[in-house]
Amino acid sequence: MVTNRCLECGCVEYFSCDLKKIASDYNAEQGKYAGEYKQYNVKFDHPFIEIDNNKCVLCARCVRICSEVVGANALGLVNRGYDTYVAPALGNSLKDTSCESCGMCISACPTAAISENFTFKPGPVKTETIESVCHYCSVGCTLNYHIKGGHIWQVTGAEGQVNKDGNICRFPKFGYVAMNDKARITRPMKKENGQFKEISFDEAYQIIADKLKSGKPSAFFAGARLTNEEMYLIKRTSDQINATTGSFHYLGRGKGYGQNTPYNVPFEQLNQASHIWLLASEINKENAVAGFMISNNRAVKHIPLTLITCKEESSMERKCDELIHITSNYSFIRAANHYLLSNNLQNSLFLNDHVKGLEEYKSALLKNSFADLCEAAGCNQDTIKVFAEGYNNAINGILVFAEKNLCALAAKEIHHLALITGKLGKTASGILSLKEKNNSEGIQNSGIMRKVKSNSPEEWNAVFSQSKNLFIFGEDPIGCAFDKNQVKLWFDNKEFILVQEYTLTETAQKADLVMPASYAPEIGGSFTNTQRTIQWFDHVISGPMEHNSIHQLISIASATGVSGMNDVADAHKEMLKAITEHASTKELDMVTTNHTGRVKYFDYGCDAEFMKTTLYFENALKK
Amino acid sequence: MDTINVILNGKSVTGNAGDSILDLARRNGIEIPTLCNDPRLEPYSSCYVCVVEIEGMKGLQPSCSTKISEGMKINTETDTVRKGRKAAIDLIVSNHYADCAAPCKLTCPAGVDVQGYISLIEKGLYSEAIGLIKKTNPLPAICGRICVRPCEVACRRNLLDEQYGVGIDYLKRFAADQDLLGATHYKPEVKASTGKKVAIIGAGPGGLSAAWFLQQEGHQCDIYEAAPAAGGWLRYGIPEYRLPNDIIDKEVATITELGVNIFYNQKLGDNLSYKDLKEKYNATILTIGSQTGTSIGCEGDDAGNIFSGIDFLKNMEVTRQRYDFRGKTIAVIGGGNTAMDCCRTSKRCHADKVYVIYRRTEKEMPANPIEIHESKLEGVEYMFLTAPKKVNIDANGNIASLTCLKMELGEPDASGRRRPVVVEGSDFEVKVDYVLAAIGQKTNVNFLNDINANTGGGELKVTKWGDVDCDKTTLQTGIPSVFAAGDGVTGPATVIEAVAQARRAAHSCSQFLAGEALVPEKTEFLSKKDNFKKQVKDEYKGHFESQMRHEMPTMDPSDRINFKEVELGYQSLS
Repeated sequence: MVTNRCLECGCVEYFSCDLKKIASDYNAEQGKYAGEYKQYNVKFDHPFIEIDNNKCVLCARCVRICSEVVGANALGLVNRGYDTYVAPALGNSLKDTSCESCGMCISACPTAAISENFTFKPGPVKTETIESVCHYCSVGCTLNYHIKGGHIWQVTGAEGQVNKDGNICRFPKFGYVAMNDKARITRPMKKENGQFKEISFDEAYQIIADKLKSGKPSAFFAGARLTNEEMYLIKRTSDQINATTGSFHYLGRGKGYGQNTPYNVPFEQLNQASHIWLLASEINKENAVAGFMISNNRAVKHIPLTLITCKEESSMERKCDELIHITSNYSFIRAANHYLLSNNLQNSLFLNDHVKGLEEYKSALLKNSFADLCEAAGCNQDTIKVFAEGYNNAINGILVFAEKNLCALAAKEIHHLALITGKLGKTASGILSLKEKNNSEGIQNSGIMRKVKSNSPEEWNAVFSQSKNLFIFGEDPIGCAFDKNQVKLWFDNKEFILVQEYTLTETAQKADLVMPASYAPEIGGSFTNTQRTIQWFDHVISGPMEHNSIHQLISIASATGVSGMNDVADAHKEMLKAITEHASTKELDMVTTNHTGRVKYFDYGCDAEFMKTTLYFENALKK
Repeated sequence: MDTINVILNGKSVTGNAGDSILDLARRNGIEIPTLCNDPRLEPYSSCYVCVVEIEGMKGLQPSCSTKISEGMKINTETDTVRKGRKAAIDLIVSNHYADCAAPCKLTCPAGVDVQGYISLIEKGLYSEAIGLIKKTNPLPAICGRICVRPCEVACRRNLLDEQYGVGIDYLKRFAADQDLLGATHYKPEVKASTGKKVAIIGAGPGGLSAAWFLQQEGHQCDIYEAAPAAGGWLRYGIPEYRLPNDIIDKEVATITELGVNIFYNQKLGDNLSYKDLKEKYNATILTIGSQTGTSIGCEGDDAGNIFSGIDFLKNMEVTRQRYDFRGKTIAVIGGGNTAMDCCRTSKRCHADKVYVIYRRTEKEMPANPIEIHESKLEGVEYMFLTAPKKVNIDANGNIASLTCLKMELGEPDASGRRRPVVVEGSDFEVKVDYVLAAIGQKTNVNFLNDINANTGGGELKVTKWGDVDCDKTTLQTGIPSVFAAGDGVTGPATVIEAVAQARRAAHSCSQFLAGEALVPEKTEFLSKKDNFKKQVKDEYKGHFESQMRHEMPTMDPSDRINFKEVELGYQSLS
């Protein structure tokens, strides 16, 4: 490329540098104290972060944010006095430290001493800044896209409802490059003799309409990355032809996650905790901004953090005050519940007033011996006693856990724990359930999983064997499967498979028709974060397609007789009406759980894009 | 929460216990600069930029880490505070070995953001790239062909010993052509009409640029051009094999499409009077160029068949008749770009032999090296260290031959170039049929009386070199409503300098029209590595991947006896 010869001598922060602004305001003179000066080589060895010590003003904001907020301690000040400079801890390369590649140091730097190691020429050029909501995880951070000419030049944090101080993590900070990727699918592709061939959108709609009207048993799948509006349109279409709907994201994992979410401790109350327990969560990677809040409270307010993990090596080990290794989340919580109930430590006032089914639950649970449960949990009895009493007695005890890494039944048992201790729904106390994807909560509320009563593997096996036509939106069950051969069987002997995706994923390759998918910032809409907040965002860029995802879904829905919706705003209105109609206040109940046959089939939230971005980080950082 | 009362810059305000002075000031809309403070982090107070004065306390206190207390009297904007902050910043920047802006941008007279537009071109965003260029230079397709490219000289790629810096102009031309030839081209926003009108004298690069900038501000611009077509020396001086007329036409159209009018065959002081302009317009901008060629200044230089180079070029463009130099020998005197245009054009007029006579060596030639290279390919011969002494005349009074002197280089002169010194007794004779003098141009202000008779206040003056006199910063002349820019102010210079001046004149003119004081655009602080030391090859070689410049495809030299464009432009950038 001819343009590669430009050495980019000018500074990437030309338009945003604090030092340049202040120096201009105060008519600074570079020659005023001329004499000795330091000269450093610029370090490019980290795939995402570039360090230019020449530009450093030694404010140590990068060092401090890495320690006070991120808790990674990957950067430090080396030497003293005039010789001081910022450098990665314990080595020459930031890549070889505990750096989590979150990019928070970049956000803190008042110059360009620490900046993004861009994969393209960053200019700098003046861009338009458009606020949006992150489309990676369920924390729901607000961020700014910096746009010019339909290209995303940079992503920075914005002060949002969740991330009040504008923090964001590596996913939005560096993952945006996928949206600029020219290799995306932009036109419908039809498989003919095993080969994909581009066809027009109208031709594709006709094929889909014919299949929808065929009367054949069909199943629709919506991914947890989709907007509420996309989910709604998919559900409407499916309902029109009386098809089954589901989401591979939650497929076969049972039911029980949804119950906790309404009682989640709000993120902003984490700083009032007296003790935080983190269960089954690599929070610094999976829901990093929530992790920053916990680490920040630990560093500054000294709120103790206990990590409970089944992982032999957890990335949170370095960032906690106490570490409990276990082998079963489900049994660990059951053992704690057993301990509290058998020792009569439960909050009876709360239970009597609010909860049904305690006695049945208690008698069933106490049939197990505490010792057996502890053994199943993989830790000694004292540890569980200390945990159970500690949580029970904490003034503001918060148990934070990730849905991703535990089954629905374990989530249900956590719910029981919060009921037994009477902490559920109290201020700065109780539980905080973190979800994997940006709209994992949205899919729970969308009604898409309403038809599958138990959401069990058996139930789904029956669906797959009956369905002739499969319509899959934004999911890659084959590519993300733990056991690809098992999952592939579901797609055999189908008459028609439609996949809507960004790229030709493994599932898309099985399809008869592939439709190009829009990234959320290209269509606008809403996500529901793990705190059940529906966050609307406008569309940011038009994207590379003639018909975006919303346009496609409206066209497909209209083939089944759905009318009256012309754009994403219409879909949003209808979606809100629909979820309000179905919203019901459930009584708090306790039910006996039995840990059998609940499988997690997919990693990465069953999202090829999430997988690609996660692997992009992992591979780039391989040592 | 406990409330605390303090006096902040003389005003009573209340804050909460535990607030820092910085927090309180921010909440009260008072900006205190800081580098080390981050609202997400505990105070650190290392930069000492946020200092303030607290009455009763010695010295300055960092506002980020000083908590407010009852009755505290804080001043955030005193001279002492500003001095203290400046000292802190001066110290920081004195150890800030870094560049804010690239040398290409800093060297460009118009300050075109080269690095910015190259990054846009990289992404195929050609119209966006042109939009960025046109913020300071409305003529990228033209400049992409004929700019003297000081940027490429300043380019640090030169330090990598790859023969050339970045082909900045080639990239600009590529983007400009893509934009001009595309279905839609870049068009800036034009502000709502201010009701003000500006007369611009001359449709050369300066006049066109002034119109481009002023029209966008909502002022109606009318250009009065003496010639029958727009472009000034772009059209009448630069031959078509370097700058085709249709490129000029297309780029001029991007200016007229904003609502700018151009009236042709209207010459101020001739068939156009300032009196009429003054009645119709609120302001005037003189972008008259330097119109008159300088003679060679030796005995017999008034003989027949001796022309000034620019007249030679202009005549052909005006008449659309090429000279027929078949069987003739041409001597071009001079070493600048006009000399190059003359010698290469002479070749295209079928001259037998073309000499360029230059009193210094090739190294000192001000002409663009690529021009010298191409002229040699086309068969032009050079006589360096040679100066004309005398013109010998034939019976018809036309030149028959030129007596020349050999020169040698002596001590450097004011321009830093070594001064040519005559080698005594080195006279020799060259037989030539035509001489084209390309050694300079002069500004011709023939309308001075006409203007000054009609000013109604103020006087237009010329400098001792005969150029339009004006304030060097604001470009306002002795008549408040008259501004000037381009060669007419500087004497013969470059297109990009005319463009840059026109932008400044437009800026001043716009302020004048709004009744504001004339203030130049604020200059920003720019950190420069060159402020610390000269950049040297050793620190660049090996630090960057080596990549040679993609050469500009050109027409085969054997196929150039015509006026078709020689440089063909990049076909793609991959």
